[in-house]
Amino acid sequence: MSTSGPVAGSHPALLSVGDLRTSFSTPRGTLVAVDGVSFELARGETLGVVGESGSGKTVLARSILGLLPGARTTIEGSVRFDGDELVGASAQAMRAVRGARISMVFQDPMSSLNPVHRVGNQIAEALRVHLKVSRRVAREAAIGLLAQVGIPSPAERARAYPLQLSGGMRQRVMIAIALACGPELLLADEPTTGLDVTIQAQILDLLEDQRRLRQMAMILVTHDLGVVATRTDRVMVMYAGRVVELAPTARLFEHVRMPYTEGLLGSMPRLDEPSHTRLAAIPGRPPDLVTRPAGCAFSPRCPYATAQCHAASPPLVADPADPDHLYACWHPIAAARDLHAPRGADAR
Amino acid sequence: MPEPESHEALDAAVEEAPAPLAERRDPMGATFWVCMGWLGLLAVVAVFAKYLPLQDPNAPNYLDPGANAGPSLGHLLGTDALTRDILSRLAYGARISLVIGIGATAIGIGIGGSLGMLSAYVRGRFDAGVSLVMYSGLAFPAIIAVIAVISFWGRSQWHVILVLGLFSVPLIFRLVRAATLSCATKEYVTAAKSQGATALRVVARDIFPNVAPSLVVYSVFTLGGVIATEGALAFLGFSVLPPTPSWGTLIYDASNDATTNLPLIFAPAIAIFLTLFSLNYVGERFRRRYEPLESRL
Repeated sequence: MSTSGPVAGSHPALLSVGDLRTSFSTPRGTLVAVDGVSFELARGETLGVVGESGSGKTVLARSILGLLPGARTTIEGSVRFDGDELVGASAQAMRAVRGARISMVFQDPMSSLNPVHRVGNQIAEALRVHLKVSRRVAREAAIGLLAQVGIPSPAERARAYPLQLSGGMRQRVMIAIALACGPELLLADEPTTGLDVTIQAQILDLLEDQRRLRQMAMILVTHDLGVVATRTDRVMVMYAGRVVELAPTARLFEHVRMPYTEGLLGSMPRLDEPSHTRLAAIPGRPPDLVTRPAGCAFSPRCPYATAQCHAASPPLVADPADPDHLYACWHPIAAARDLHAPRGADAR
Repeated sequence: MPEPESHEALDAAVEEAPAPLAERRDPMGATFWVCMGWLGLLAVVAVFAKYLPLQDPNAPNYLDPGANAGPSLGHLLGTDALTRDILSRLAYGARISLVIGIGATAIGIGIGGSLGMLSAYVRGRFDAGVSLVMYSGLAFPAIIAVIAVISFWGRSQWHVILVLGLFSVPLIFRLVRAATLSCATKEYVTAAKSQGATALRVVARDIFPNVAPSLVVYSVFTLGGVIATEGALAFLGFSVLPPTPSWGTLIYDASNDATTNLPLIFAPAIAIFLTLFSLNYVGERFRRRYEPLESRL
C-alpha cells in the first residue's frame, strides 16, 4: 500500500504496518479483531485512529507492541518499525523496543499504575529498565519528568502513591512514564476516556506539546472525532477490524467518502444547532467478529447499501481525484453535503 | 492551555484533603495485642529456653518431689510420671512445636508461593500441569499420607517438618495462584510490559508486592494449621521420638496419668489452644486490615 501523508512523502516511514491480522481463539471460534490493516506513519506525524467500541482500535495499538495475552492470540502480517520487523521478533528484541522507542499511554490511569509503589519510583523504574542509570539519577530524572508533564511541586508528588492522586494527575504520571526514555513513537490508547472533560483537553494539549517538543510520532486512538479533528495530521477510521477510510485530517472532514464516517460525524453534537436537537445515532450494532457476514461489514447499518454491498466486501482504494484519501466503499459519498440532513430520515 | 495553573492548584488542593492511609485504619484492638503478647512470649521462651531458670526437661527428680507431684515452688506445674519438671518440658516443647511449625510453613510458602505466582503468571500448559499435580495433592487425605511417610522414613523432627511442609504446599499454591491471577490481569502489569520489563521484573516488582499481604496472612494460618496437625500426629505417636518434648507428645505421654495429674495434660493442651487461637485471631486481623485496602484499589 502506498499511503503517503503530508509528512510521509519526504521521509522513509517510521512505522509501516502491512496486512496486520490479529485474532483470538475463543470458545465460539476465531475472533478476528484486526483484519488486514495496513498503514504507514512518518516520523513526527500524528495519526488518529477512530472507531466505535469493538472496532479493533485498541487491539491494533496493542498488536504493534505485542502486548496481547500470548496463548490465545495470533498476530499475522508485518509491523516494521524503523526497518525492523516486530511481528515474530524475539522477546528480548521486543523488550528493547518497548518503553525505549515505542511507548504507550493507557486508557485507564486508575488501574495502569501499580498501587503499591510511589509514583516517582514507577517513573524511575521505567528509566532504570532501559538506561541503566543509578537510583539517584533516575529519581532526579523522574522529578524532572513530573515537572515537564505539569505536576505542581513534583518533588513532593513523586513520593505520593497513585491512590493519593486525582485521575488527571495519574494520567500525567502515566505520560511521564511513557516519555521517560524519549520514545520515537507514542501510542496513546484513549488517553482521556476516564477523565473529566476539563481535564481531557489539558491531557491532550500536554500530549501534543510533548510530541512537538520531542519530535515524536503519535498514534492517538479515540472514539471521539472531535479529539482528532484539531490534533492529528491524518485520520484512520476503523470498523469491524478493518480500515474503512484513511485521509489527511482536513480533507476527511471536508469530504467524507465512507458512510460510516459520515454516520460518526452526524452523531456528534454541533454548536450551531439549537439545544435539545436529537443526535443522529447510527442504527443497529457492529457485526459479530466471530461470524462475520459476507459483504461490507457496515452494510446492515448503511442507509446506502445495495445488493452489491451485502454480497462482496469493498477493497480499500484511493480516491481517483485525491490519492491520499483512501476509502473502502462501493458507493462512496459523491460530494460534500450537509451531514445532518437526510441520512437519519431514510435510515429509519 | 487555558489557565492550567488554576486547575492544577485546585487539583492539588483537593489532593491535600484526605488523611494519610495509616490514620484511617481501624485500631487492631486489645485482643490482638494480647494474642501478639502470647506469641511473643512463646517465641522468647522457645529461643531462650536454655537460659531461663528451668530444669533440663529430661532431668529426673526421683526423691524431691517424686513422680506425678502437684505444683510447688520448685516445680510450678509439678512433675510427670518419670519425675520430670512439666513447666520445663512445656517450654522446650514450645521450641519443638514452633520449629516444626515455622519450618513446615517456610517450605509451604516457599514452594507453594513461588509455584503459585509463576503458574498464574506463565499460564498455559505449565499452569495446567502444576495445577493438576497440586489438586491431586489436595485430594489426598493428608494425615493418612503423613502417617504412611513417617512410619516409612522414621520419626524425626526433620521428617515431620518436610512432610507437613510438602502437604501444605497445595493449599498455599491454590491461594497464591488465585491472588496472582487477579493481579496479573491488571492494567499495570500490561503497562509494565509496555515499558519493556522482563517477566522476572514484572513478577518481582509488580506482582509480588501486591500478593505479599495475602502471603503474610496465609503464613499465619498455615503456622496454626501445622502446629495443630503436629499435635494430632504426636498424639497418634507419629511425631518426634521420646524423650524429646513437643506439645503433642506431652499430651500423648499424659494419657496414662491424666486423671490424677491435671497439669500434665492441661498445660500442653491449653498452650496449644492459646497458640492456635492467637494465630487465627492475628491472621484474621491481618486479613481484615489488608482486604478493604485491596478492594478500594
